[in-house]
Amino acid sequence: MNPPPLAQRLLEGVVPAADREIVVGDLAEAFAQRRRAGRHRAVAWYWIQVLMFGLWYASRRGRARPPGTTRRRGAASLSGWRQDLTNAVRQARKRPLFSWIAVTTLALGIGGTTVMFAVVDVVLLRPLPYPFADQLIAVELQSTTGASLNHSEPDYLDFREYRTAFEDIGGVSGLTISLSSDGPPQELNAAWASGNLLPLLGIQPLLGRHFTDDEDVDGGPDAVIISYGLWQGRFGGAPSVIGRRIVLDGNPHTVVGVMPLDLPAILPRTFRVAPPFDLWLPLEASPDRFPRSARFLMVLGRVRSLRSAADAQTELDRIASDMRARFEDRERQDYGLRAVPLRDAVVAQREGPLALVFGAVALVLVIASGNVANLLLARTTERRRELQTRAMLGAGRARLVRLMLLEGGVLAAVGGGIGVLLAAVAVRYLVPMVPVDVPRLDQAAIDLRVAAFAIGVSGAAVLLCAGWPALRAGAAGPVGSGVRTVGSRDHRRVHRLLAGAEVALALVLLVGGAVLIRSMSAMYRFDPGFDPQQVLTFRVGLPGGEDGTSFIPTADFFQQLTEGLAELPGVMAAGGVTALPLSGRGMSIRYYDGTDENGRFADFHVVTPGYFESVGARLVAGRFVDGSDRQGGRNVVVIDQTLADRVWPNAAAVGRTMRLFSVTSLDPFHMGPTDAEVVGVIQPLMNHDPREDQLPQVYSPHGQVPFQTLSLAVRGETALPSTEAIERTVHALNPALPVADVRPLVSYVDSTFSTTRFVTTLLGTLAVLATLLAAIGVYGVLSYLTAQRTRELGLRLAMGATGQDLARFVVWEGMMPAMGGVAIGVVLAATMGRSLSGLLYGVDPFDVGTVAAVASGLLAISLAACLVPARRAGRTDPMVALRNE
Amino acid sequence: MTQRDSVGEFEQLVMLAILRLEDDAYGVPIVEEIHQQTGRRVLKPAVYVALRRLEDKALITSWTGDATPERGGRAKRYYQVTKEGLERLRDSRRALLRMWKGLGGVLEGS
Repeated sequence: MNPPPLAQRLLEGVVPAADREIVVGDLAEAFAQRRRAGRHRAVAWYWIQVLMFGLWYASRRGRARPPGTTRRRGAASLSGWRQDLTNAVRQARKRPLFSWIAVTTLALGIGGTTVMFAVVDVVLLRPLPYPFADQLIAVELQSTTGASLNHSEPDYLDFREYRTAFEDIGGVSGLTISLSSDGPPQELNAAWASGNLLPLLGIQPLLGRHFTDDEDVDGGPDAVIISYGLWQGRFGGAPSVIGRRIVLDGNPHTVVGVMPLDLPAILPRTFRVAPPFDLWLPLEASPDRFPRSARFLMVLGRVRSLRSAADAQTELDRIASDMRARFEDRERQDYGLRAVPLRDAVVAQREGPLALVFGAVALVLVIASGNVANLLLARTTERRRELQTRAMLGAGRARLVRLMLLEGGVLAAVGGGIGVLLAAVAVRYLVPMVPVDVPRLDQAAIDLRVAAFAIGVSGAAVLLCAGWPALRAGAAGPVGSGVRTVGSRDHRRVHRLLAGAEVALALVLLVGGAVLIRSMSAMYRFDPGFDPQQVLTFRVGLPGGEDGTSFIPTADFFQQLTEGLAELPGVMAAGGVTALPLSGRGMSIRYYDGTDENGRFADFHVVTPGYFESVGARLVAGRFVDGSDRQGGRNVVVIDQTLADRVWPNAAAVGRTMRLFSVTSLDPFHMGPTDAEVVGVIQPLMNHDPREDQLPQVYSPHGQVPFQTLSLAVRGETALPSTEAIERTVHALNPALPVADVRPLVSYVDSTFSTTRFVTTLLGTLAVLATLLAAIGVYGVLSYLTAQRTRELGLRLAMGATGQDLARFVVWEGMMPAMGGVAIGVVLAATMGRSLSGLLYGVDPFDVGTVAAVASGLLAISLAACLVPARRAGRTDPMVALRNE
Repeated sequence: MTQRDSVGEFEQLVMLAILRLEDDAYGVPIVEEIHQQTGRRVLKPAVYVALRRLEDKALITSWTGDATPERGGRAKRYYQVTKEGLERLRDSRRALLRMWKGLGGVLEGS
């Protein structure tokens, strides 16, 4: 019978106390009457009433007046707003130079911040475009060796079986596969996904259907769903593609569906095969196909609609403890599961640098606002007579504050408007030129959200710039109450505070920029262990089964291929490897070094003869892999110097036997420990980003461990070998094989450094800009303060001070805030340095030498900014100074 | 000439509604009475504000009535027009009638 309690509570909040009881009572009574006609209508009516009362009283707030007065004052104050606004515009136009400086500064600051927000928003903040994307959870595996998103197939099936908080759980991995029908052979990225994954994500095929249950079973019909891009490119966008048979890795598959355009990523880019995917294959998971140690699946689930992420976590904890109890092997001891929002798992991992740049741009905006605040503050002081007159004529404190806020507001509004225009241009034309591969970056645009952000930033800029001046103006006493001292002392303190703050923020940015630059140069000095120049690389994968055209045993095929490539004119050497350095691919193996019975991790590669020569690896001892290393002979390996030093620190490694264990059953030594003779030791190759851990390396000959997919490296004598010649050589052996990912070796090096280089350039530029702004700020404050004190300086001169004394005095006055700022900036830099550490190599985020250099540089710049006003002070003519005013 | 605050049209409507409702003049019925007689939708909060203003000017008085369970135990406030208020209404009626005199033909003809 009662009105909705929340609505009633709100109503009580908006109606003034005097009328509250009556109004709420009246409406309750009216509600009760309406209730008889139908509850829903009555509730809706009541809410509308609450809204109306809320709007009504909110619009009257601030117009409250004591009883007995008429309404006219309200009208007067409304026109007062207009008056003040007109006045603010007039003030801005009266001093065009001042206004332009302020507007330009703010426009650049707001524009820059808006661009960065547009990018950060679309890349980092927005939810993934799946229905109810916040219910999607990625399951992360946590163990002492680190966190990972990969799980084994049996584990995944257990998660599915024991789930309660999850509506469904799906698994997905990536693989490369070759398409050899309907045109030239092509290597494709495939998502290997459980049949329930697409429905779970809420993706509807554009054409056709999802996988059926019997297609997602081992031995079921071979079905495939293709991407929009592949459909358009390979099949001309014809709807008849549904039901067509296509040949993947030599096996015919039936196309059952076409994905819509713009499918967002579901696998993080750290996976071996990352999106965008060209096609989707059913996972066909079974409990006994792979062992629990073969972890290659990303597992994700949708939480039931009334359950929370916390419920999901509780459930995962329960499952993990079950697993620990069920499997008492060593690996399970530290087994833990964590629920991670899918968006964080997919997007947030590698885009940290973006947030960093955003923060840096925002800092520049704060410094810019500080400069405008200084200008406005100085104007307030100049105008103290005007303000005092206004106060005398009856303008209250609030009115004066409003006046000044409006003046700041007009500047910020114009600056913000221009800033948004600049941002729109930059987002349209500059952002696409960014050399960093960031997902969804191309979708950045100035939309309502971004515009709202820009308005918010402009508002914040108004408060930053005009807040203090406004309060000062409000405090302007009537004329005669100490004209000369109005705000002088406080005022100077605020000016110095602003200058100090600018120096502090500039120092933070400069330290960040300098540390990044040092790290960059350290990265370029890192010895990669190979020579990436003039090497062309590509990938060839032999089909899993017979492809019906030709069948040559894998080892023979690659031997013939590398020999054929090496004979091409202008080619010095050619060889194949399972994963090129810095390609982000690779396998692991464990080696026994006599300390840990389970062995330690190393990078594992399989290479053909000629590989080391073609990438320019350097031999330390023994020999490279050669044609004599074949199956049936003694197992041999080449290791790197790091591993040799670790296992045999005091003796030569060549000729010794190394014991190797598998990591997963997917690698060649899954039968158990294998012994191999070390035949060569090389300088370590840079397999990973130098900022990551470089594992020791083990290389097995392809003749003994025949992998079906290899990356080939071909070194030219003077220039890159030609792509056509390479394709001809491959197709002479097997015309159905795709030649994938043709690119120079040096491009792997470049892409490893590109994000850092981009962030470094940007942050460096911003730091220089910030320093410039801060120097202008310090200079502006000082010259203003000095001019203000001409009279005082003149008095000091008259009383016997020398020009040098005055100059020293002025410098001291300027250096105080600068030194304070440096001190605070150092503290800030120390606390904020951690956010940089992921980007750095070989240099501490709070590198003492760098900080010291930056601090002294900033102090020198501040000193230079002080010198001009100081010289002016030193030349003060006492008579002029005293006559002044 | 007497120097009194003028009474606006809206305030007159509220006072007239109170008079018409006699003993049942309180918040919601006043709003409904104005709506029924004039066809105008008036904003409820505006009526409450007008009531307070009229009471401040001593043109109406009010007393607290019974608190029914329907009202969640909240007091009800009834209103009555004071002598002063009645006077003011007569004044404005007189003024209006005088101004209307002789204009009937002009305005009704069309």
